[in-house]
Amino acid sequence: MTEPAIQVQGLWKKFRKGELYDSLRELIPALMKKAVRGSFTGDLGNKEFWALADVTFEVARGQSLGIIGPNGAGKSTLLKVLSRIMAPNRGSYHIHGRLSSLIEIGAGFHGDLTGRENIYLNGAILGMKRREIRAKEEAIIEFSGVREFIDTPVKRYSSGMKARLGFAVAAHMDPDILLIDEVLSVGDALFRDKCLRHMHKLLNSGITVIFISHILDQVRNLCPNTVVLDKGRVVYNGPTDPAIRLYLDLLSRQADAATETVDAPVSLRNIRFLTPEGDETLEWNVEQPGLVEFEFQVHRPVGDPFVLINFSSISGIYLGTANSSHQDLKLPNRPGTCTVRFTLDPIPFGEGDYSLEFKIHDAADELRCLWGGAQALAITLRGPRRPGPMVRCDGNWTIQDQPASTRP
Amino acid sequence: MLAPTQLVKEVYDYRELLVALTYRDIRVKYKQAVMGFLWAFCIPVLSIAAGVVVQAAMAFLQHRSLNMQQVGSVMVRSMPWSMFVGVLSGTANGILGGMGLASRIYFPRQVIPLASVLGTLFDLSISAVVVIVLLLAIPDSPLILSWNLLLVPVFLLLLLMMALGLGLIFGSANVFFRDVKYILNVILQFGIFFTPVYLFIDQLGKLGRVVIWNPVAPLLEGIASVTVGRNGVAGIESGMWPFILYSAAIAISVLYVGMATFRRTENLFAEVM
Repeated sequence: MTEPAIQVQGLWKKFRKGELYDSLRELIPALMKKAVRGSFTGDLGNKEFWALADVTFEVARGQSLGIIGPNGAGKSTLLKVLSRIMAPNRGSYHIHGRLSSLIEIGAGFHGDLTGRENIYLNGAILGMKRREIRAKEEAIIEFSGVREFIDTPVKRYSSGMKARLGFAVAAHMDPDILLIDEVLSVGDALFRDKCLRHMHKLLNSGITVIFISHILDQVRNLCPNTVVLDKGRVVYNGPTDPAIRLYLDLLSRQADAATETVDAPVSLRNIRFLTPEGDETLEWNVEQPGLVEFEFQVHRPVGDPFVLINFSSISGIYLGTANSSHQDLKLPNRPGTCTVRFTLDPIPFGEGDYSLEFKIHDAADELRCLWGGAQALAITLRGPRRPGPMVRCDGNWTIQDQPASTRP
Repeated sequence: MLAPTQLVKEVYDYRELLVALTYRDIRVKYKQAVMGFLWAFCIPVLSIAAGVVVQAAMAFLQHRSLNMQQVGSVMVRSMPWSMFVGVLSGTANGILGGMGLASRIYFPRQVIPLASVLGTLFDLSISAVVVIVLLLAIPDSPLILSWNLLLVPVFLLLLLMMALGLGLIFGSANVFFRDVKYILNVILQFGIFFTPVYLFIDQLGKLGRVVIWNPVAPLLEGIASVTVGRNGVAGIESGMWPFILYSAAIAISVLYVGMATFRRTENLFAEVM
């Protein structure tokens, strides 16, 4: 069985920017304009862009492939094309096996129907046979954890309950190929964990998976290989770790571009992460200090500026702030530029990906934000330990008394 | 355009979905109504009552009494007309509703209008039972039993094809331009004045010669002719046949155009939604 489960060959998909003409009142003037100007030539219209541009990759049977990329890179479009919801403009794809997609869970749920009725409805929408659903009904209800309310109309469910029921139905299909888009983030932490374990089980049973997520640790856990998409193009296809680094690099570069446009009295430029040796990096070692260097620019005289660096996990959980004013560091407040270095020592976080958000506030008026980078920068922490905890709770463990010896 | 066999095969593969969606529509429609399924009985009775009132008023103005043949005629016309309106607007609106689903998950798109049609036909089968029972139960039953009754399903099928075809055209357009829904509502509301439902062609005088060109009209007149007939005789008058063939030709072309429109636009639905 060397034939790949999914083959994608030079896929192109065109989208329109801006509003479509939603009513005749808007269409008629637009058509007139078009008639006067003549219809446009070439492949792309004036408001069109390629959401997918020449996307090619393969997934071997039983493999799982991650797809990551900045927002709007075309990830969801790709899955929509592969699951036949949209037709590509050019290119082809071949799928060998029964395909299911977890793109939107709970699709077609109707609020007036009970949970049980919705299981059958949603199951049918996902392509399950009635007999098949009946056989799995118990397992689905059990998995969803909403047994108590299974005969209550779904409109009275909380959004979490709805999502759990939807996921439970979707998880009980047995496809050969599964496409997953950002759905492993439903429900509470306990349910999320259940979903992840279920995914591992599915993977071990030999199905092929394409997995989209912004939660990089999930991608790292589930997929040995990852494709990085940017602006519709495949910019990388290979092992996951370099893929994640490349993706974080892409995000940082976007953040740089965004900060240039801010009009503020002060700003930060050329934010760089350094190793203790002073080399630029996107990866810090957890056992060494982490260095951040940036140019601090004053464009107009300001009061008493200070810099804040907010640390968050890549999934958006705020972890802590480094504050330049805590050290009585006086940053210049007259027009000019200076280079500032911050050393985070020791790094209190576990291995994984973190995002750093830079801000400049005014000490004279603490609430006033003078400058805020539009997007956070990302850094990967590496170390000898396995990836896992966000915050390291290191300390000393001792046994305070001798164990009482047990007599035979 | 896909081959028709392919279309049918796709629907067959997804028949469970078709059943589930139809069941959902029916279930939801009656779920929160206190009277529930009773509505399916009441609505045809009420619409027949409206027609009987119109006929009674006509009789009063013409200083004659209302005869059972006219009451029966209203009965057999109002049910097919409700079917026409129901299937047309159900399909037209159902496409927009169903496309929300189609932009999230794959299934053959033709399932959407089919589910709307089946849901509407479920209601109509209840109406049909009501009409048949009423026709047989009223004193001096105007129903004339003859082989001509075999034409009723043919006329109903032609009406259904026309309604489905128009529904597909309006429904596809509605996905792109939400104006269409309002236009359709206006057309259907005025439509009853240009269709021989409550007033018959021969009662319309000069206007009748215009109304007969409404492709729905010959079919309704035809149904009335073969069931309650005229002066106690059932059957299609020879002068009616050309109009009936005209209606049949329109029904077939409209359905073809409707399917082609739907087929051409369905791929764009996911992008518009």
